[in-house]
Amino acid sequence: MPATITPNKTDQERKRRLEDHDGGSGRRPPTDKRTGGGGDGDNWNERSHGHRGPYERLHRYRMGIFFALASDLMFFVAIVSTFFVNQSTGHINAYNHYVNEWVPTIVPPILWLNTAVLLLSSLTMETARRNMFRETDVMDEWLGLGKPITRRALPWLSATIALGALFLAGQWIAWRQLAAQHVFFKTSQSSHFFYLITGVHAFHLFFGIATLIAAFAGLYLSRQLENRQILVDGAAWYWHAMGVLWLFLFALLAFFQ
Amino acid sequence: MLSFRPERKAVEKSAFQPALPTRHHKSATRASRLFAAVIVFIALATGPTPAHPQGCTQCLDNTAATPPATQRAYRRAIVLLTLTAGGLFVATVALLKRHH
Repeated sequence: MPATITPNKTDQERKRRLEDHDGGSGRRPPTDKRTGGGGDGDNWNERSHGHRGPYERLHRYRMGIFFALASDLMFFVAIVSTFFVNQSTGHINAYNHYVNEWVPTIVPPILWLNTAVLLLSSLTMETARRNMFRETDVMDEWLGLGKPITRRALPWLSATIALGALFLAGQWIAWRQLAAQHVFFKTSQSSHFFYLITGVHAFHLFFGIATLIAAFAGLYLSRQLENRQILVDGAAWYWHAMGVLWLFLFALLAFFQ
Repeated sequence: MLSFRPERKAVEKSAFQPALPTRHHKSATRASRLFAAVIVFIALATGPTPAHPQGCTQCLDNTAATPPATQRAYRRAIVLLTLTAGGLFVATVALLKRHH
């Protein structure tokens, strides 16, 4: 007969411990609610709807901005299309002659400087945006070890606001220069388009500066790091879009009149 | 009395279970669906007779009355608008596919 050791105490009676806080009934297994549970608690790729993290939230906001900018772009392209058609369209004058009275409006030289200022502001904005996502700083700020992200991004954001305001001031000076030469909104077809195009773009940029100021305020007032990142990122994408749009519009006014 | 033979019903059930679709079967279904979609698309595109609504003839007449330079400008404007809208559509599809 082989020697066997009969184990005693096979009945594993669970001792009740007060610190379990489960009333003796035992707990359900730990599941990560962020991944939806269901037994596959570590599957970050198959998360259930409504349990998205900061990455998905950021991309959702980016998509929203993309859709808004898409419709805005169509608006600008409609204005540009009207520009082309008006440029080639004449009318029948009092002598029954078909005349095309498109007289190009010379672009004030300050517009070149304004363009350079806007490009520089795009650079500063992109620097501010990238500083919001530096991994080590994000971890530090998320853990509450100071505010390195805010410290890094604020100066670049401020520089962008200042350059944006400088651009708008430059546009205003350009309009004053044209007015001094008696070229107003109603003077001719080309001046009409010049004021319309630059005015509408300036209005959008004014809105962009308001967004930048909101992002600046958000860096101080918002408690969640996610929200701060989304504010700055959204403002940055809008700003870059306005910058690229200005390049296109400026080229149209400078070379295609 | 214990029996190790499976129940007759269970055997009969397994014999009549439909076979899992093979790869050949799946590709044949996909091809036939695509063929049907193409036929439906062609039918929809060519089937309806042109309605010639009033707006279209008015637009046509007005454009025909403009000089050639203006018509050229209209053509350029149409191309610009179509390319922009098409480009936005393609960009949207690409972005949505990437983040799906």
